[in-house]
Amino acid sequence: MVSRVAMGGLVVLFLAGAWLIAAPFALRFQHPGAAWTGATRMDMAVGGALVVAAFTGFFVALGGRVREMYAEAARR
Amino acid sequence: MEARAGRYIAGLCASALGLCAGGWLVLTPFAFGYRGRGREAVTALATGGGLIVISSLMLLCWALAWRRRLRVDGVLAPRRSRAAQRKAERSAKRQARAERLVRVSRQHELESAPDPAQVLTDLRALLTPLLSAAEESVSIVPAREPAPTPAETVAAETAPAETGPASVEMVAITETSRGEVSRPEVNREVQAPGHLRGARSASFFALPKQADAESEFDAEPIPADSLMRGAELLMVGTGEEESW
Repeated sequence: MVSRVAMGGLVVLFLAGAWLIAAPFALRFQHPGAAWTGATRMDMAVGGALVVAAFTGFFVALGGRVREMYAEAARR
Repeated sequence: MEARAGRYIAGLCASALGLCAGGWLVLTPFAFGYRGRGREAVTALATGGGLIVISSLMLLCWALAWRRRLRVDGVLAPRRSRAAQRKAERSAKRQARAERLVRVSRQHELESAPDPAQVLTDLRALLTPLLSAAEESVSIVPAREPAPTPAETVAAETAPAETGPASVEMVAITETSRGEVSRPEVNREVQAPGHLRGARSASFFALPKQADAESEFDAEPIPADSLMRGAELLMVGTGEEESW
């Protein structure tokens, strides 16, 4: 249960990063074709970092869990 | 082990990064001078706050999951509740008390229980003389001839050739120590084990007459004899004579 919540948290983190990337364009405080404002750059940077971190963390955690399952199956 | 830890470390790192990112997003509107209540500021504050909450929750979840895994692997001691701890302490005390009692009772048993071989030897030493005494006690005791009464005296004078009716002929079977049974002899009686030898039961019928005869002629009492006779009468009355 706890592991599932943690994995879900990573997914939420990934979605939050994606939201931060898309927010300037979705909320129209960054006009298309215009130079990126400071807020847009900041959202893009933080969102991109979160997406990368969440993506990496999710698959590393998933890979570890799969490895544990293989080890438990080998013990049986 | 390291692979398992890597999984939790990755989750914890991602959560920590999310927490840092959320904090940074909360601070950016104030740091970069965004317009108050603009879309950029609201977006940054809302996303930052959400990231802080979610990242904190993720940190807690990953930490708990890692701790549980460490307990399962035996790295950490198994968790015990207070009730379980008290119960374990109580059971340990009970166990110790029971072991102490068993140890003490075993010591008593060892101290009090004699060696069976020694017991048999002692029993043999105790019973052997009793058995030999029982064999010897079946012995021959000559019966006393009853004292002639005046009537018998007269009868004896009148018929000297006949045997007097009051004379007791007791047939006894003599058993020797070898177990052989000899021929019965006249005027002998068998004395049972524990029977006191002497003039007790057999003389019981004769002595009073003699004493009566004496008391008729002599006025002086014989205290010892009378006491003995009284004791014999008492024993006969209580049925002890039959048991002899």
